[in-house]
Amino acid sequence: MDSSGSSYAIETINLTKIFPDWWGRPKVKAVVDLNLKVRYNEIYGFLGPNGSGKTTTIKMLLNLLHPTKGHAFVLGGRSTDPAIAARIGYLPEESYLYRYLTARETLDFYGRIFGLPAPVRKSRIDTLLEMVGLAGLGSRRIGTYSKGMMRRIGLAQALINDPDLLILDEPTSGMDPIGTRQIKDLLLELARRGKTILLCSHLLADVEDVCDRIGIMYGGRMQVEGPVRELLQHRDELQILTGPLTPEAREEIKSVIRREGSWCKMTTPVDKLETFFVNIITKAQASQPTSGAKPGTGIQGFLAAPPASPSKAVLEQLVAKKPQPAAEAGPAEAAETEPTQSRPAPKKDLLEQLTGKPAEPTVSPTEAPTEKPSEPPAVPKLSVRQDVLQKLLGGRKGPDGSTEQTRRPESEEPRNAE
Amino acid sequence: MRNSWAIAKNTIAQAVRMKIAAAVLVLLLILLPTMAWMLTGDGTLLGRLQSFSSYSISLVGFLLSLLTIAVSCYSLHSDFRVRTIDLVITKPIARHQIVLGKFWGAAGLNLFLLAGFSCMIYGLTAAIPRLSKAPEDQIARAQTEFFTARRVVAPQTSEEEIVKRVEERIETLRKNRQLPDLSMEQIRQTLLEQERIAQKSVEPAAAKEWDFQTIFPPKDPNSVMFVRYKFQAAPEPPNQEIFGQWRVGDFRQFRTGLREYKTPIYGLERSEAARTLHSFTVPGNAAADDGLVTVGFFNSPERNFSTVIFDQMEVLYPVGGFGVNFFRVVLLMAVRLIFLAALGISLSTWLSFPVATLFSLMVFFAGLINGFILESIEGLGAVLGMVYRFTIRWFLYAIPRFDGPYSPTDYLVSGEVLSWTFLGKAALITLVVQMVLLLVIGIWIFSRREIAKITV
Ligand SMILES: Nc1ncnc2c1ncn2[C@@H]1O[C@H](COP(=O)(O)OP(=O)(O)OP(=O)(O)O)[C@@H](O)[C@H]1O
Ligand SMILES: [Mg+2]
Repeated sequence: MDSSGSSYAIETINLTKIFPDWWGRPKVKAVVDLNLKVRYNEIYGFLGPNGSGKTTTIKMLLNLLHPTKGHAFVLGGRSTDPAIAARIGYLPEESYLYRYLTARETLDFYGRIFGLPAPVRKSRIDTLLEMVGLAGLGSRRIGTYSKGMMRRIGLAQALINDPDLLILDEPTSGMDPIGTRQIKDLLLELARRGKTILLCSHLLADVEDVCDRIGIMYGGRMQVEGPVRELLQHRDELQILTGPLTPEAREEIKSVIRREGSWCKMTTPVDKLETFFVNIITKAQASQPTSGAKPGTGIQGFLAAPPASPSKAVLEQLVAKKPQPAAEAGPAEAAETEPTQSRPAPKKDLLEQLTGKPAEPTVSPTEAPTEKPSEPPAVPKLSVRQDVLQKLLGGRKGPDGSTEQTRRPESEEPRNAE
Repeated sequence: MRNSWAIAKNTIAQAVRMKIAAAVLVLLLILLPTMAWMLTGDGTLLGRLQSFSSYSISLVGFLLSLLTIAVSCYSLHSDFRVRTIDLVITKPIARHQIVLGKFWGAAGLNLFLLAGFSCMIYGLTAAIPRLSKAPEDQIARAQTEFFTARRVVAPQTSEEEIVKRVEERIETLRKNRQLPDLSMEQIRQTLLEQERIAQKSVEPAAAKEWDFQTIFPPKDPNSVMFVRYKFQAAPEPPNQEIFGQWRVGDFRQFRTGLREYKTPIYGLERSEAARTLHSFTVPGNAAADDGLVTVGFFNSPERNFSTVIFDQMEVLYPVGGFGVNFFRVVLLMAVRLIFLAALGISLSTWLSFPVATLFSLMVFFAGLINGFILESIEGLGAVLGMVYRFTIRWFLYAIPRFDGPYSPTDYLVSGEVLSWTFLGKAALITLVVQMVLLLVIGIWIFSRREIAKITV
């Protein structure tokens, strides 16, 4: 998808925005000398406290605001170029949608602006409505929607053109936890399909779950930037997860550690509230109708489960559920643990219809993806039994000795694997 | 083009949800049939048709003009206010396509309504003769004077002759050393006035002839033409009426001395009130083959003591049917609506809804009395006139005229033809020059506007 000269999907050069007051005197330095670089096919978490200039930066990227100084390039050009605009999906901070249009009309309107032919529009609208969990509500006016429902339709709108670059300004604000989860799954899946995503959010847990790299803004300046794992990893600590142990065994372990001259702390894992909530709603969903957004249909439906291919079925038997560490444990694993039975039926074809590309099988028994490693887009995250998998894949190994079968191998490994 | 259409469609969806749109629609749907029923004019069928067509067309034109202004000023403004524009702008659509889409939406909706209500007026007008059960002669009169399209011809003016005569008089006065103690300009002005009135006046026992060129009524035996006129009488006659003897035809035949005239010359006598518009019918064959018709008036001294001053004198003859003329009248109205839509959109690219609406209404109302103001400015004194000439006059020249010959109603009421030439000229000036200029300015501003900028 890197069709342009620039090697970055988003690149800003000394981007500065100073809002003047009524008299034209500089008043607010919203963004100062920002050099943002987002690579192709990366999920970039754009963080910062309120008023730190995130939205202002995005608006300059999209030519909604004119920079005071500096330049902003997207997909190797300017967003004013219709050819480039056609490859961008944007979800604004608030739902800037026509309240008098129905969800279906809204999507149709934007589809028309993108010049999509009628049959494509129709099928994409159906797919997207299904995907964001609004399938039955397509003929209701957006003005009557709840905040989260509006967010969902806003997201659907951003995807109508199957964009290469997705700019999301707080996509999960106002969304229920299941919606949030679905969005995260969707983002991972989209990234797997080669899309680039700029994600702006205050929910750090979400950012952490999906982003490859993050940048933290403060006062219009970039404070720190780097790969999430690198920034978060405690290189001097180690975490071990085990099954039930007798008190004697525990004492023995502790004594071993003490002998090593290190410290140790033992707790039982606790579910995150998110996981708990998702479980409750999934149960209720089975027995009770709702006038709101329907969780569990779209994104989750598609992304939660691996495709029902024979190879996959085999793989499922090979994986074992991983228990959840306590609160102090690594955050990535914690967020993604969930009982297997909460997964709805697979709906792999939904996103395929949307993107027009067949989803590659997550793990192929004959060929392990190396260029763009993919993790099973499954909720819950399943830890693959490495020994069995290695046999299956013919023992192909990555540089660190582990099998390259996930998008982020380190997330599959216990911390401090070295 | 395709995405402009999406914008246009959305603009319409937005407009039909405006309360003013519903109000206009309901009002017209109720008022038009009521008017067809209630408006009786002077009681005759012709009067009824005239008053209905006049009021209904004016009402539809007025309300749709207001609606056009409201819709076109509101659309972009609302997009900015609820910030929906922020999202639309990021899509692959050029700014000018957004402006044009809005324009097509606003204009399209109103043209659609205009078409609908015009059909309704046309249907009601056509139904009135049957519904009113008028006697035969009234129906016949309505046919010749309302359900027709007549060309109006003014007499050949001899302005040059008037000027020549004034110069002669000045020369005589100078020779006789009788020039009054006034500036030459004032003398010339006064004499011109006098001479012009003299040209229009017929003293008792005097006669006057008006020559009309290019009168070609249809060559069928039933065809008619009309002489239409208005006069004052000085002094006022005791019974307020003037008795006149009229001749209409090719007067050149008098001078040939032939016994047999090739075309007939008609004579008639009429006694009529001053200061009202009158007209009488003459068979169409009174016109000479080369299109010349002369109208002669004799101020009979046996019955009148007053000088008769003609303010208006015209000959009308049918050139087309009512339907086509009605269509052209609707087109003239459409030109107005299209212009207003462009005006509103263009203004709302940089003004807020209230300001843009106010300004549009100003242009609209100024247009409705444009000709009148221009005339009164010309008559102003030197100093004041100068001030106006460099301010308001330019404004008035810049905006289109909606009154006088640009007013659609008059054509229908008097059964006068609105020629394609005139319509084309009006459309050319209003749409091609003024409207395009407005849209270009609007697009220019909109393209440079910082969309997400917030001014509080
Ligand atoms: N149109 C504007 N006019 C003046 N000041 C503005 C404008 N837009 C933003 N600002 C200011 O610029 C700064 C950055 O705002 P911005 O919206 O980019 O923050 P943000 O990082 O998106 O915050 P949040 O997390 O609350 O969304 C703020 O101080 C804000 O007040
Ligand atoms: Mg923001």
